[in-house]
Amino acid sequence: MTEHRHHDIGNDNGSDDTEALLGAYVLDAVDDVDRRRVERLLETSPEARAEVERLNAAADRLAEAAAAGASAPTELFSSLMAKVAAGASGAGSIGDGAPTPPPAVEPVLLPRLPGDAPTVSIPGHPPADIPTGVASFERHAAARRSRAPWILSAAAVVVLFVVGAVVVGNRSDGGAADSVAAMEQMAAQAASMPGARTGELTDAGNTMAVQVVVDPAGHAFVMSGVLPPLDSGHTYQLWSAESGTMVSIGLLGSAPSMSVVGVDPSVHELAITVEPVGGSPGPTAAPMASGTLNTV
Amino acid sequence: MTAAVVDLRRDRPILPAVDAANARRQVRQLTRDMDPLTHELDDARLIAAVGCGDQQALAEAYRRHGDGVYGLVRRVLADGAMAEEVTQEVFLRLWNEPHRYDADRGALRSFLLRQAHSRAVERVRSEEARRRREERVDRENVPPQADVEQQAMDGLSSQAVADALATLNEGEREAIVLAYFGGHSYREVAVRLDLPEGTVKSRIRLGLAKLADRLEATGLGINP
Repeated sequence: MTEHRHHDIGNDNGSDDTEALLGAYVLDAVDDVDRRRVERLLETSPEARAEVERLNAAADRLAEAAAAGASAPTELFSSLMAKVAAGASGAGSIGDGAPTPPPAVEPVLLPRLPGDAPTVSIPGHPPADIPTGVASFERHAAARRSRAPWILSAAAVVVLFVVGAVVVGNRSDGGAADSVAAMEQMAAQAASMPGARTGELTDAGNTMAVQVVVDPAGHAFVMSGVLPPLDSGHTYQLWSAESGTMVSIGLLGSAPSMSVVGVDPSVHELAITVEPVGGSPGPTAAPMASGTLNTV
Repeated sequence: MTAAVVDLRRDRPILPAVDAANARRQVRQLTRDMDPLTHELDDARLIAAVGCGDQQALAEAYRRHGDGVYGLVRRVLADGAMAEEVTQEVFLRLWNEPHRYDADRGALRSFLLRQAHSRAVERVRSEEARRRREERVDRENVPPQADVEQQAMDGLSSQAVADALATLNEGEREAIVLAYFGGHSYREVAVRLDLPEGTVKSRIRLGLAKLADRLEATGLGINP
């Protein structure tokens, strides 16, 4: 800080003076030197800790006043989940520069899930060999378009929002099983919501059915565990198939148990294909399963 | 966009199908021993799930608090793109370091909003430092504080908080608003208001204490 006035340099041990900083500390209105002084005081003074707790409650209400009623841009969520899925780390990957715009036409990259490898990434320890794939969907009702110019410029063609597919693979350990269980229950509850849609994606011989539940908010729970495991060179890919036009929704991996993806209300027809690892911008094979979403 | 037109039903499946009854049994197996719904998890369990690498749990944390975090950050930062970056940083940090949240010390929302505020303020300071380096802005160029204060006050959505702020004396209110919503250090506030730093420290501390009193009196104080 360069604009020091009456700065009490050298008064490092004055606890009275440090106590005077407690309010500013709570409001993040101190510099690093002052912050360390306050934190040292807090270690030794229960009175100071009690005061900070009380003042924090007041500051929390100021925060809530600014927070209540706000709406984050829609694409922020998908961008966050794509980063999480790609194994991004917070401090390192998001720098001070301008945000990287999600591609408006190019597909966003999401993890492909290798056959028997762990498919739930552990924070800070992303599997090194997970390549990337495609997840995107077309959205017609862009009521809350971004203020960012890169989206506006794309709007003239088509506004394509990207959505992170959340995929839980086949694993025998508790964490993934819990995640699958939690998602299964969410799916069961979603199916009972007014406006929910369900469907079965079946193969040509009706020998297999992938259950899909779409809640009213557009979260599609794809019970993909019935799909036979693929070799490590292939992945399942989910598509919207309105009027036969295939638009990628996301990758399901090579041995999925359960996936959650975003599905636009305008999408009624779904299809699954087998694609090379990393997914394809357009299907390279005929659908192995397809079906229609119907309102419950 | 690359798309292809195909007849969905014409082609035979390219993989051998599995027995349908077996498949349904597998689904039933998956659904039998269920955890509580992710969106019904309390803060502690939700963050425990995040710690297990459950992306859906992080998505749920964002669903609950993303708008609020963004709203607060946007209030402090004038730049919308920067506010989006900081909001992402807050949730990526939650993903990478979920152990930093201690449910015994308060609600997840308070934790996230405090993190959000700190990071937004860091960004304000680094931007100001950058601007000073680049433009050598002198004190004459500091905008009139009344405008900044008014801007910070505009649109505060909690009537109770706005009322409480309104009942502080002017000196306390302007110091708190400039520091908290303006992202200024008490030293910068002192410069802006042309006051001794000690006076600003006192006004912030006393004003905040009064605010805590008034919020408690209206039943809005201290989180459990």
